[in-house]
Amino acid sequence: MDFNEIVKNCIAFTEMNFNNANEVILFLSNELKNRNIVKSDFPEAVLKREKKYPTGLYLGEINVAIPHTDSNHVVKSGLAIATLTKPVFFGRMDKPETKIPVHIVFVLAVSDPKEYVKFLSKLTSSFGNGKYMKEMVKAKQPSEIKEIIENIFTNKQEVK
Amino acid sequence: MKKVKILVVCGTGIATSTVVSRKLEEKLSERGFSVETRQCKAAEVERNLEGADIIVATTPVPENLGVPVVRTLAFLTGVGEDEAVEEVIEKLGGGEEEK
Repeated sequence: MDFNEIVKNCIAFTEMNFNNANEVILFLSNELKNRNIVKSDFPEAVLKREKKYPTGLYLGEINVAIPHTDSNHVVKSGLAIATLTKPVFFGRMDKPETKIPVHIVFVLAVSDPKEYVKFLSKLTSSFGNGKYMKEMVKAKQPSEIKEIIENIFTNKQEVK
Repeated sequence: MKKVKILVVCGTGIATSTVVSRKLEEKLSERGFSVETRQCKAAEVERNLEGADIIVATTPVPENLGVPVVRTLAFLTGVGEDEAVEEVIEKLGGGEEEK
């Protein structure tokens, strides 16, 4: 599977300010929509799914969220990332009633789960490694985020 | 090899459950299991239960399904993965049968 294709369709925003989870999700989803990576009904579908099955991942120091939805709302695989100056609250995936402060949001555009799985498993296993997430939060420029993403995928060493 | 069927459950049944399925196949085959996974959405657990030895879910699923459930994000984030593997094996009734 071609990581480059997904990395190419990766867009990033740093030091962003939002009041709540919905605002971040809509912003990132619309950015994907404007680039024709997802269909026009994607933002609404992601919001709806997030409400029912929240995607906040509790990691301790820096928590993340991975909002996404079914493939039929997606044109091609991609990813939109925002780092936040102040955290917004997401429900926990494993305990939806518990809200956690989230610093980095990854909206996933999954066109084919089989093709996306290697990419996503590399990405999510990097969450457990605090180093990458700390670097991401500190990034000032979107290019730095993309560099970290590329490092995650080209790093031959298995991230534990 | 002990054969096990695992029903992997997440919110949409496409993204996180795919990652968890691959990870379970990898980790459990290292421990001598022959793993078959099936994925589904949390809302569709009941109608996908047939034949499942265990459910591994990243999101809450109904209780009293008659099948052991492990709810964990460890196979997604890698945090606490070894412990989660042990929990799955324990709920499957232990490792390789010595017969």
